[in-house]
Amino acid sequence: MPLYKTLPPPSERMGMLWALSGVRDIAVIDYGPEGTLAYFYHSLAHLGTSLKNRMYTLGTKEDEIIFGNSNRLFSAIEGIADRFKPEAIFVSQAPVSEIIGDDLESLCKSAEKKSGIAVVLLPNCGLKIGAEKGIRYVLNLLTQMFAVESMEKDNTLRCNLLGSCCDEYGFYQDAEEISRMMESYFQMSVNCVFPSDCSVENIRSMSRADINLVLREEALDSAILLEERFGIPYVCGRPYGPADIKRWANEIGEFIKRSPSGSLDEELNSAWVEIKELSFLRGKRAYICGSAETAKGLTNLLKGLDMEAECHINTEDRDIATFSSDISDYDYVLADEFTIDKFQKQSSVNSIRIANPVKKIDGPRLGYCGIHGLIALVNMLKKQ
Amino acid sequence: MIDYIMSCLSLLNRVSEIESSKDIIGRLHCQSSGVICPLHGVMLLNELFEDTATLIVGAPECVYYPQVGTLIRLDNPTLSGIYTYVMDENDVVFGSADGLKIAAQAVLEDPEIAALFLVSSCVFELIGDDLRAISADIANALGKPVFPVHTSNYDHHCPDYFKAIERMLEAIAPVLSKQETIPHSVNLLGRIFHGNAKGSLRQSELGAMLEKNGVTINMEFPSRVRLEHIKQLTAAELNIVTDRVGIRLAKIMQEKYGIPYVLFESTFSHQTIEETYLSIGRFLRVAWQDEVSRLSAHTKERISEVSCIVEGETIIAGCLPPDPFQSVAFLSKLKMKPLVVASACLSRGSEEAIANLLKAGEDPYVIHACEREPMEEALKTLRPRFYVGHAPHEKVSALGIRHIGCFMAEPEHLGFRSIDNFLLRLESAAMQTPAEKGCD
Repeated sequence: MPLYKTLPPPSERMGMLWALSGVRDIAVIDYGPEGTLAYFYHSLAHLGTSLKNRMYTLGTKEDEIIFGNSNRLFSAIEGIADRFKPEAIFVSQAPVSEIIGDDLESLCKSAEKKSGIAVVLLPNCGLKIGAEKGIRYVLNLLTQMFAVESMEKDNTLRCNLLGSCCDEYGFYQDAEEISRMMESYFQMSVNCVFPSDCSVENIRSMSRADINLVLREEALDSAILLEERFGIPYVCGRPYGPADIKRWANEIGEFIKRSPSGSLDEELNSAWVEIKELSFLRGKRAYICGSAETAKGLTNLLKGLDMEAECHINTEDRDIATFSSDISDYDYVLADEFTIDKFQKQSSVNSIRIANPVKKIDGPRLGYCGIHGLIALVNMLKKQ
Repeated sequence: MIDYIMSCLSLLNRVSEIESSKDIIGRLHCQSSGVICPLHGVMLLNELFEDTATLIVGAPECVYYPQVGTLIRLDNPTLSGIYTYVMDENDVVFGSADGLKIAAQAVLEDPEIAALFLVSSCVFELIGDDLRAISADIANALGKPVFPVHTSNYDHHCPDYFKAIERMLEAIAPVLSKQETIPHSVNLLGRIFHGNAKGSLRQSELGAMLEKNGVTINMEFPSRVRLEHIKQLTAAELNIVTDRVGIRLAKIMQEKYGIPYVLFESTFSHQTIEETYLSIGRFLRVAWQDEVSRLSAHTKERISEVSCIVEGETIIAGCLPPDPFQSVAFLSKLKMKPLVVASACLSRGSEEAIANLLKAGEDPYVIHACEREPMEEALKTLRPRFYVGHAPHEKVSALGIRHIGCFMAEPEHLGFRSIDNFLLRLESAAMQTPAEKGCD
């Protein structure tokens, strides 16, 4: 039953718009009522980010729904193309517009022909659950569209971070930490943080990278495409915990034929000193609920500390109206604040935020991958 | 850069070009943001009812965002009483009635929940499921009231979240029943919900006047209340509608229970305030003419005093309440030069205000109230002396512009005092030296 007491699962369309929000030099037009986009802006603030391009709403009204008014969409595309000259204009349809069934495909083609700027109609998916599918679609689309030509490489080692997207809690901090580690262990710079913080030009230049780091499963198609087009190898996953970090760094090293610098072992040794203080966690029960990469990564990490860790992925269809009542058996809950509230209502369980949404829009956010993420988590666990 | 800014302004219409709300969007045919969805109002009002639940039915994003809002606003969101029914393609093709009935039943099984608001949104309205019939079926089956509330963002009659609040208040009318009238008593129906406005109408000039003259305030509604207490509304002798969100309920109470109503909204018209006070006095047999005349004369005098100080000064303004066109017309009455007015749509009284503005020789630009970028550009380019509206105070002050918060954004800003209060803030901003900050 699609009944929810707390947060319902987001739609594919929401995932598409979240993924597009970080790409500079493009424009997005939302064909639908104005409130949808107003809410979207609020959602970005809740996700700890802001819009990096231009998004517009047509503010569709009743008469346009009855009689149709794709002319206004055409004029809007023309106006935006003429005034801002974006690299591409993406047209997204709100659920209401999907049902009306205007022929937007031919309209977009005509507008593209007239303006000379790529006009891309995003697929109908406002009624489909699964933001991650929308994110996957956009990543693939942008890669297909812009990462086309092979660019000349120089002596600088470069990597692309594929799949850093604002729907994940701590996405920014995770990308920062991976960038730091790549610089520190391999003297490698980040070419493109895709798609949370990049320009169209950055995407075009993805072919210059020596390796792609796939930060989430939704970016895998892009990585495969880049490998096919430019022969760039890729490494999947974000590293959580010392063993995982070591494995991840060595895997990268094998691909680029370079061993990680000594700073990797130095940092890992310091981390072990901190971890040893966590022996009190042995046998404790933890409930972990977050995005796929984070939840799986942290579950493995806590299991490595001999905790009983239970992994839940929040993109799965969780009917919280029928949330089980045996939640008082846990010692720790690592989740979003809705779930944490639910637990704390029943018992004084220790809690760590690892997923969206959060209550305080401007509160501090932490990423938990890499060395710095590990230290942050250890400190949080010690504080409890 | 100057070219860009000037072209930014060239996309805007002027007041003289505004014939309908659509003209406010300007010449780009689309806007960078819009007014927040009516479902936001549903979320706000739901918080005030202690023992009802609200079930919103709609597309995933339409029900996702109000829930995020609930999480941010409430200390314990799991107690919020908001439930959501997520529609999918099957609901669109085959209708959602059956699924919705099962969902509503699951919600109403909770003995703590006395009634349910069943709230529609765009997709539900578009496919034409019969919300009223579904609500009646659920109510009959479960023996608890179910209030159908139609909201859809594309509906011309439901352009913003205030309208959704109005509709929720109207929907609750069936629980009313005639109570014994308390002589000399009023309800204060409706309140300002802008920007999370807090405060009580009892603290307003109107509240003080009523109390001073022995009038009992029966209920301030909506306010935090249990369902059974709402019945008490019909014990009042008169409804004073203090914000438009209460008007539909007031009309129903007039028709069904013979309780008259008087509209007493935030306004810059001291004549309207005076007439409304006198009208309330006649209904309640209160002889407050002298006091009302004295307050009115004082405000009139203040208008004339402040007008001398701000004459010829430029201003950009736009926020609710009152209607931004009416507010800017008032500024032109103070002999100020309005350069831009920000508004989301035309409302009752806008047309008259526009006519007055044009008559005074003013024809400011119009910016959609939710468009941040053009407003920022207008402030940078036109550099008015004053700005009234929402914006980071430091940013506005850094441009050397005196920022005067909002016009009347608190529930207690009602009556002559609301005009006096604004004039005082305007006056003190005008007296400021440029180096001083914080006029509000």
